[in-house]
Amino acid sequence: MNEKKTILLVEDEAPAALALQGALTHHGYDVLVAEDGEKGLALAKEKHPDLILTDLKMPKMGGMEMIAELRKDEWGKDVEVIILTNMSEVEMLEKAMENKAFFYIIKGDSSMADIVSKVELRLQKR
Amino acid sequence: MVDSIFRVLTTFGEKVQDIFPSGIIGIFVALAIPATALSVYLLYSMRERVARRVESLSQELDVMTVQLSEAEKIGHFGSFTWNFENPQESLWSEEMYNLFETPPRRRPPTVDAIVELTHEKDREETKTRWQEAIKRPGRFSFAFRILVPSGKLKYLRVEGTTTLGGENKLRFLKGVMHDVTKEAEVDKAKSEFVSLASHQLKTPLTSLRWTMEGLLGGVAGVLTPEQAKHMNSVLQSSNRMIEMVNDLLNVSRIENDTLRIMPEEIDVCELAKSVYEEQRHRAEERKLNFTLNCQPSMPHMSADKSLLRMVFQNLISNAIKYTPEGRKVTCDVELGGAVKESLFVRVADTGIGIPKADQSRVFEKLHRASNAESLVTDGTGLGLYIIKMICQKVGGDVTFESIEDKGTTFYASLPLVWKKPGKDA
Repeated sequence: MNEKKTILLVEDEAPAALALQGALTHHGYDVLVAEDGEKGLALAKEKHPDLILTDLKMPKMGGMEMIAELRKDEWGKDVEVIILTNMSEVEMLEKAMENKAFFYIIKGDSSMADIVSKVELRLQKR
Repeated sequence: MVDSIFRVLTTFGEKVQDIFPSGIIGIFVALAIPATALSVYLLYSMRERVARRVESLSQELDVMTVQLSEAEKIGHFGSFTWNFENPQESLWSEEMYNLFETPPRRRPPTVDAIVELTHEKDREETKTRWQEAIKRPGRFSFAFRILVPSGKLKYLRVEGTTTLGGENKLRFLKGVMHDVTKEAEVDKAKSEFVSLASHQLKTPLTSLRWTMEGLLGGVAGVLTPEQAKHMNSVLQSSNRMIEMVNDLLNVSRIENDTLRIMPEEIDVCELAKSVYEEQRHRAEERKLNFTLNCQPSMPHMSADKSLLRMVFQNLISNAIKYTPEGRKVTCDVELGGAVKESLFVRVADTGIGIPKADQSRVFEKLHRASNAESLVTDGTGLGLYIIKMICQKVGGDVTFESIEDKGTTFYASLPLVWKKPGKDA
């Protein structure tokens, strides 16, 4: 890794956010954390992270709405997004694709190692 | 009255004797005429008694019919007879018409008409069940939903018997239909509750798992071997809980018909290998000879990754669990079918096998074979039910062969291209 890449993690479940932040930091990323879509959107526009890892169901603004807002932004229209989802939300993934968010991680099925390797893969491809 | 008739007849006899004054004929006439009269009288009075009895029986029958009709109303069941030899003798009880919210008529609706009233989603299956019932003599029982004219969705359970006549021609379908809407709704609520509860459990369990994995990975500093051992033990327990919660969620998805199929391109050998790696340590713990053979020229599939993974996981973890130390477990993955259009997964173990008495119930929900229960106490009996449902839902199947104390081989066959069900499916 030439330079430290920045990941924005948008997740309202504090223990999950803490675990993800810890693991990603441990793997050499700078990790910004936001607890809802509204804060995530503001932080993304301000810090321009290399990748956004976002939950869908969150207070104030959900992940899908945040992505839709991001896609309207000059910088945000191409930013890489990975969705963290539960199986019950899979029907929302079609909507995610319309918003150019093609990658997702099903939380319950994924180990931390799976998540880190997916993040690495997406960042390498950029 | 008898005396007066007798007197008249005797006088009549004497008059006849005057005409036939002598001999046997006179005696015969004198005796026969009153005897005949007596018989006529006895017959007449018997007829009266029979008529009274018939009337009383018919009254009893009316009372019983009313009682039966009330019982049908209270119990929400109707009775039917379809007579295929004499269709004009087919009969529905009043409550059958009430169940279908249709006015009584001289000839009840046909089986085909009933199928037409069935809820769109159940129609094909219900049609097949009726066809099976019609072909096979003996008892039948199944449930289906109907849309009644008031717009309500009713759950009906039919229990009946099929009688065949000469040349195996269908004679009768007789039985009852119950309105089981309330029971079905309670069952649905129960299933939805399980789904909600499991779903809520999944979020903290996932956080727990990720935290453990992070700690074991050195996120908060390197752990001592002793710390790592305990942390691993917590991780194993939380993974076991996640598995159980996933099983419960999958059962409720199957039962609420919300199991989603999201096909994507899959390198099936890679998927099988990742499950193999995941399970290898369990096999090593049990000193099993565990091998995976994936046909090298295997094309990519279009399947739902997490559902296909579940099939592999389930078959392999069962084989490992129920095979005694030092023995063998093999998983073969290859192409099959007439035009190589299917994926065949064969998982063979040399384990405890499935006792004959349990074999017919292997895929039943919550059923665990007697010997499995005593060997592994914490199984749920949901795994094989879930994968049978998944395989069938995507157009495949799973079967097995087993000999107790020798081992079991499971065969899963799955199409290479899984179709995403339509929105209304």
